[in-house]
Amino acid sequence: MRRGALSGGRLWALLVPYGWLALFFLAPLALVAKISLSKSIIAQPPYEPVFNLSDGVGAWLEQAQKFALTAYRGLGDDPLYLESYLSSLAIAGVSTALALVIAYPLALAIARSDPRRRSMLIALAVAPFWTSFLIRVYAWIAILKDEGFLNLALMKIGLIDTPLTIYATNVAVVIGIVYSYLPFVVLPIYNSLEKQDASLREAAADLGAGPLATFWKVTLPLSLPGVIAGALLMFIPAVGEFVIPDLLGGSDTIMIGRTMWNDFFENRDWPAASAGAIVLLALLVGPIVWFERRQSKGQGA
Amino acid sequence: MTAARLPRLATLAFGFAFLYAPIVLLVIYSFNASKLVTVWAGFSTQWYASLFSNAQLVASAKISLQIAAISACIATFNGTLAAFALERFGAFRTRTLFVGSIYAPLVIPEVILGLSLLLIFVAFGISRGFWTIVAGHATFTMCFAAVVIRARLAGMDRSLEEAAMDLGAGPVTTFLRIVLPQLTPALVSAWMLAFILSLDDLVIASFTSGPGSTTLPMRIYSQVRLGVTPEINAMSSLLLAAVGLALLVSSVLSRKRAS
Amino acid sequence: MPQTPILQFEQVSKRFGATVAVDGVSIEIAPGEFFALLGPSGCGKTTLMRMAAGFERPDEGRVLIDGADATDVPPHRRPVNMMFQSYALFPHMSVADNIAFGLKAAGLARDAIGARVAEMVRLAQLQGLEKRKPHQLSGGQKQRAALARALARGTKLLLLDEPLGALDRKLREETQFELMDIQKRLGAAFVVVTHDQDEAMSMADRIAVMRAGQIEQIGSPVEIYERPRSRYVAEFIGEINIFEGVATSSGDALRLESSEGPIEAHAPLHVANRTAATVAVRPERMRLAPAGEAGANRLAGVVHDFAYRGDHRIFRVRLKSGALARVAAPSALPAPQPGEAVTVAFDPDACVVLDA
Repeated sequence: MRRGALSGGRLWALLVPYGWLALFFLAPLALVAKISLSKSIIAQPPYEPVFNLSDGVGAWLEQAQKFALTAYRGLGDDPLYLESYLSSLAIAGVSTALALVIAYPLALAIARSDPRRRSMLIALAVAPFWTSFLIRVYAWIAILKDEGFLNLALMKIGLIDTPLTIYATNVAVVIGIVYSYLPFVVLPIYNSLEKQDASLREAAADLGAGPLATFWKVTLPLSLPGVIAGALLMFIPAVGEFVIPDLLGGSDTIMIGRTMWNDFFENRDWPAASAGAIVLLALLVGPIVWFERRQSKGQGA
Repeated sequence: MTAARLPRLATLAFGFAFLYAPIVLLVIYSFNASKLVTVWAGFSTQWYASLFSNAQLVASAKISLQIAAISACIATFNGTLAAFALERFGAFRTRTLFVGSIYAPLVIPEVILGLSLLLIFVAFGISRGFWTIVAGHATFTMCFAAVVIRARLAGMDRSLEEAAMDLGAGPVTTFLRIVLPQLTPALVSAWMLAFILSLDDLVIASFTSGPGSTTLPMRIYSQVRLGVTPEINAMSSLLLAAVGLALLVSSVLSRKRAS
Repeated sequence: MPQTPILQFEQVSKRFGATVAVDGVSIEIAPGEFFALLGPSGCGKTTLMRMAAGFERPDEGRVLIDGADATDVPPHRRPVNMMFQSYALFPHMSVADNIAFGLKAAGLARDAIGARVAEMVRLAQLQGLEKRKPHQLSGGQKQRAALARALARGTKLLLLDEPLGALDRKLREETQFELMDIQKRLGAAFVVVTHDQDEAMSMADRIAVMRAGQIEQIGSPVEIYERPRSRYVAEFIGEINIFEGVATSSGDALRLESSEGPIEAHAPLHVANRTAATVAVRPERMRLAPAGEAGANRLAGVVHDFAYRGDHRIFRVRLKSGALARVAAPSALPAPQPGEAVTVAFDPDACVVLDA
């Protein structure tokens, strides 16, 4: 293929999705970056258009030059944003670690099941992903509430006397995130485990390695790509999660997605929210690029 | 092997219990006669009845289904073209940017996508409503569609297309008679994935919707914030049943195809 | 005037990035010829074939099909068909639909297609399998279905990419004869790409031995085997013993002073006196004589070991210099045991003087 030169049909086939993404993904992102830099223009009522098509390029450039980093300075001054980032990273990190601890054994157990049952089991493990995210999070409210199923059950078997307060805490948020994203973690781990040649384990056993040594030295290292893919697939969106902290968290649960949502819909502080989004994107750009590289390599181009 | 059987079964039992217990509880309690969600007071289908008399909810469900169907079609079309561009066009200028725009929306927090879409619609004075939600949904779901279709395309034996051309079939015939039939399962699952992602989305819809275009998740969300109600349980159970049925049908179909 | 070649490569070259896959290759293949492109993997033979089919465009040179320049003709417009190494049977179509595919593309009438498919099914002995999908066929049946599909359009030139590569040993030999039979019956030219020398030798009228994108030697199997031009060809095809030394030439006789002793051969004219030369001898052209025979082409050695090959044994004999010579001897003869001293004997006729 000659680099850079596509024939007519191919050019159109590329331009349609490319144009769509440019219009609805790249341009909006660029705009967010711009707005985050230009407080004075935006601080008007939110429905006032920022750019009019009739303004022409000149006016746009002029506006773009009015770089006022107020919004970003505001972010630095506002302890809420700093706290949001830190606590989002912490909650997403803890949740991801916990999800790996649950997902790996599950993926392994499925991968080592009877081959005839394997595909059904993995389909069953992934199936909740197809059902409504909102509803699955909602289902946990009834479980975690003070008078919810979990507390009722624990009190019935006499493990506790007074209800545990889980709902409306960060613990509930972590449980919700682990639960919601579990299929994303199980699937790539399962895929990398399932691909492994069983004779590798037999060879390790033949060379004198016990089951544990075989796991640590053969199975686990070979499945690391799946583990990393699963962890990224969960961690990146979890950092910006909104629904789960909003429904399961308490008033002291601070996550960046929620902070931005509030700034946007309640405080109507668009530059602050935009700056928040840009900083979040910057935080995640490393993991995102890494993820994208892995994905495109994995697909074989 | 037998020694490892017990821990394996225990892991499976625990894992699936964790995954399914909340869903099962939710469905069971949708048939609860009591208004108190966690106290069982006998079997009743009254909440399903009241659900269908809730005109707002029904209207929102209709809007959501329409948006999901339209955006899934756009996403599958765009995703197919994008998958071909990624898999078959070799190197072209700004390919890296294109690849990035396909893969980034898979993981970027929805709040960022929603917020940026809202800003661009406002900036260009586009009034928000049904079609802005369609555009937003078609955008992030096309990336999922592209990945699904690309994976299938990558796994396809190129020599089949070469064989078709070798036997005298031109590019169009080759596409229609060789590539498309093999791609169909991927197209169907890409469409289904896009449809369900759209149907399920709350965040992007909230940013891009306007008056009169409240989607089902938005409606559910605003009710859920007020507390757990059996009516929402009933609503959820219906959605779960619909998705479960769709999954069952598609898996039966694909099994039939395989045999 | 000689007949127009059905396929002609004219100084064809192809590069992939920094690697030169095919480097200035010229070949002419006659109508009805069974031609083999033979070489190890990565020698460029598959690329050469794909250029004939139109899947690769040569960077330099021309590809002519039946005398017409086809260099820029796309695959679906070329009067050439190919049988793919993976067979590339369309998985969603039955055997009959696979065979009919090329006929439909050619716009034949339904009746004509049906008749032709039936004919091909008979030719490839696929009766009763017409309705099957490819995944319901055995390896041999797939191979025959792919062949039938490639032949259905009645091409005068069939390209076969490792046609027997996926078959097991026994089936491979049977299929070799089938292929030769079909080729003779149809009178089409077959060009086979293979890395298997036995396959090339037993089927082809002519063989081109390739190495690193270039043609090393073209000739009949007998020429290639009996008169290899280079050490590469000699060693690639079958087993061979190589002797190096300084040559003296007198008339048509050449005498090589090798480290094992003097070797006499019939000399080609171009070997200059007192130059380094290489002589090759096939194991089956050697015999084991009792120890103590002396003279030219009589090399003293000790039996190292031997391998039983059914009708013959291959002996490895440690020669004076320490090198191991391979000698084939009929199993019917009494076998000297390892450690026994012997003489390795051969005629000047058996010696091939190599270029390099």
